[in-house]
Amino acid sequence: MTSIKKRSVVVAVVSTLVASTAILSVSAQSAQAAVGTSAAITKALNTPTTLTFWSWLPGQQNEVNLFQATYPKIKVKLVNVGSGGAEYNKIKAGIAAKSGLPDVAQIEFQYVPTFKVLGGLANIAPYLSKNWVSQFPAWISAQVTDAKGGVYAVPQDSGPMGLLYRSDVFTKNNITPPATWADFAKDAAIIHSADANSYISNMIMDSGNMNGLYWQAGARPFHMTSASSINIKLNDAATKQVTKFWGDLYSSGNIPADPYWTSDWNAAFNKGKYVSWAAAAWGLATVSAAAADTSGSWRAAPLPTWGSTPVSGNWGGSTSAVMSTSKNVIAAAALADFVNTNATASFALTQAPTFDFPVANSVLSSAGFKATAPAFYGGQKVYQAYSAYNAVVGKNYEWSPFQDEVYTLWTNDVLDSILKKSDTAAGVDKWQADTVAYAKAQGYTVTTK
Amino acid sequence: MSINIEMVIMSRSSLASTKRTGLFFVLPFFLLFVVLLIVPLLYSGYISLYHKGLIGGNKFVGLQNYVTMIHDPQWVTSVVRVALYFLLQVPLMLIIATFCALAIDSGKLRFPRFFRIAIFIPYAVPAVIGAIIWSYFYGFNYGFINTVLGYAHIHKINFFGSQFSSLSSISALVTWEFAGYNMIILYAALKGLSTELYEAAAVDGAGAIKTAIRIKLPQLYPAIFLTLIFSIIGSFQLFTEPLQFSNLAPTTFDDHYSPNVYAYNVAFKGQQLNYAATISFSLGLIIAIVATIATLVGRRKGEQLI
Repeated sequence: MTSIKKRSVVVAVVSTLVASTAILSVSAQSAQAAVGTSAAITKALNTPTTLTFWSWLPGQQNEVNLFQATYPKIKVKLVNVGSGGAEYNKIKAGIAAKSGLPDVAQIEFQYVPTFKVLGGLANIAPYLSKNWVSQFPAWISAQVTDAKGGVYAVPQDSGPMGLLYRSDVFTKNNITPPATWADFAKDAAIIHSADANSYISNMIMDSGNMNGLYWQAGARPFHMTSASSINIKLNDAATKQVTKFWGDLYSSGNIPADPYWTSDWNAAFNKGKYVSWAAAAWGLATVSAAAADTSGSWRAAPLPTWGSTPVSGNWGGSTSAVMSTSKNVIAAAALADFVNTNATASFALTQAPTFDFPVANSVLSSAGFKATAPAFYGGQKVYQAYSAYNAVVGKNYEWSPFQDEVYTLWTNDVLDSILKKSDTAAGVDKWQADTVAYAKAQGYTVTTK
Repeated sequence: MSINIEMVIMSRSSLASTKRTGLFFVLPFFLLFVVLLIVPLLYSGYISLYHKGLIGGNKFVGLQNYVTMIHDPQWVTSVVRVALYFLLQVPLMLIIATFCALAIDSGKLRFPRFFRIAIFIPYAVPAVIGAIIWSYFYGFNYGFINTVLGYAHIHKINFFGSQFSSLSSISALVTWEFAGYNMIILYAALKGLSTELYEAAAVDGAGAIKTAIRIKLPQLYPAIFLTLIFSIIGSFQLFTEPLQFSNLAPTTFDDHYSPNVYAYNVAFKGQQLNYAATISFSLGLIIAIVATIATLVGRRKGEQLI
């Protein structure tokens, strides 16, 4: 007992000494960097450790296996506790209880600020290599870092948006994929009048899906001006324009309004009820899974635009984040980093059964990734197509630290106004007012410029 | 004399040990009761008096959360809605349950055991699974009911189109789930009734239906009342079904469909644990008040209730 204690004290002293020399020689910026010296990292990665990893990604075990093969001392327990909201509820409960959290968890980009402000995420910057952020496009890494150089999550995949459409139905109606949203509205009328059971698209019923379209139109609703003050501008012209567009389409009767992610919704793709979808890159896998009977007739096209410049939005995409309660932060950081940035692992993420759209520059530019041409999409190189849409995703997008509430209020206020065929601009204004009231009640200083 | 005293002492000590033994048997329940019910209840009452935002610390606000709640239109809507739901669903369910219990008890059914089990089985299905099963029935485009109606060339039904249709859809599901449970309670009560009266009625020429209405039903009143109290508690706590159906109709089954759904969303989506505790604590209070009123009204019938 005592000898073990003594030994660990000695190790601690030695590693501290090593660390301090490292600091002196490399001139590290902060005391925090002392923990992240290569000696401490090497030691942590060679100490028998068990990590818990929550993820709902299909096939995530493949990347975990690669990690375990590289670091045989570390065992990873991969658990799927539910996807999205189901997992977040467990994490929020765990943060409140200060226990029961995994070491690493899958978190979508839009919720990284939420979990950061709740104190749930560890800053792993000290354990990452020096130019770590430069391996991602800047607008991606901006979503997981803060002004002080902290890194709170490792980007995993992204969701640049394009338009998936049924080329056979479009050809039959003598139309090409719409270049602008005005064309999209015209095509909506053509498709529905040709076949009463067919619509160009479903109503955008999902808050994240609609947010991607607001993003494309230029909405930048949130900006943290300090840790406790936020600028909220949800009711700008772009947001009102997009909302009115979809509200008018729905009122015209040329699109239906079915809830997403249900068996009905999946069947609607398969039975030709919807013949296009403004979908994120991961939607390629969603549609091919839902609409097996229509294999070979789907294609990808750029998202229709509001002006003449090609621009896209983003919907979803995940990260792997280290929880602040982790007792093995170094090993956890290594796991989060490895499964997403190791060359073999990050390429594996883009293949079956995961089909992630990658975020690392190296994978984005790799020939193997771009050459993928699924038969479901008629042999079109859909990932190459989506890479082009990815290049024109609007930059500088910031999330709120209470994105869940923002989306709940969107459903209450904006979607409700659309489905009731009432004034959508009033719905958007109510969304803004309710969000501001919420932020103020949470203690934020709010500006609305 | 001395023997008498000894006997008294003995019986006293044995009484004390009986008490202790009794306590011992009650202990497991009592511990769970305290840990899982009393402590959380007190704790939620306690945190409902505080406010903790994402920014700024935890501060005592007295009854401020309750004042906010009473002026919160979403909360008022949710309470009114479960009250409507109670009025819509509970009478229907209890009438069906009573009818089934009387039918099985009448001895006129061909396969009484089969019916008893068949009606009771839905209660054994977890509420979430029940809601998922029924969402296949209710699906607008390709749901079972609308598919059948489509074959018959009848107009599709939107089961979640309006306030009333959504409440009716949930009522049908909950009736399916709980009618069997209530039927078992009522059936057990019927089995406990003395058969002398039936014989007397039979001698007087009463048939099965007349016996059921004139003899059994009046005696069943306390048991029906018990199921009513259970149903008050159950319907005001409506949660799983609307939460599950919100995937099918997000604007109909919104984040404040029932007080429990609202508390859940306020806690997990809105990060306002204090306000969620306020909603939950007041829901308990509302249920207690409604149940008390029901008991007072029911008692005037001159029966010994609960």
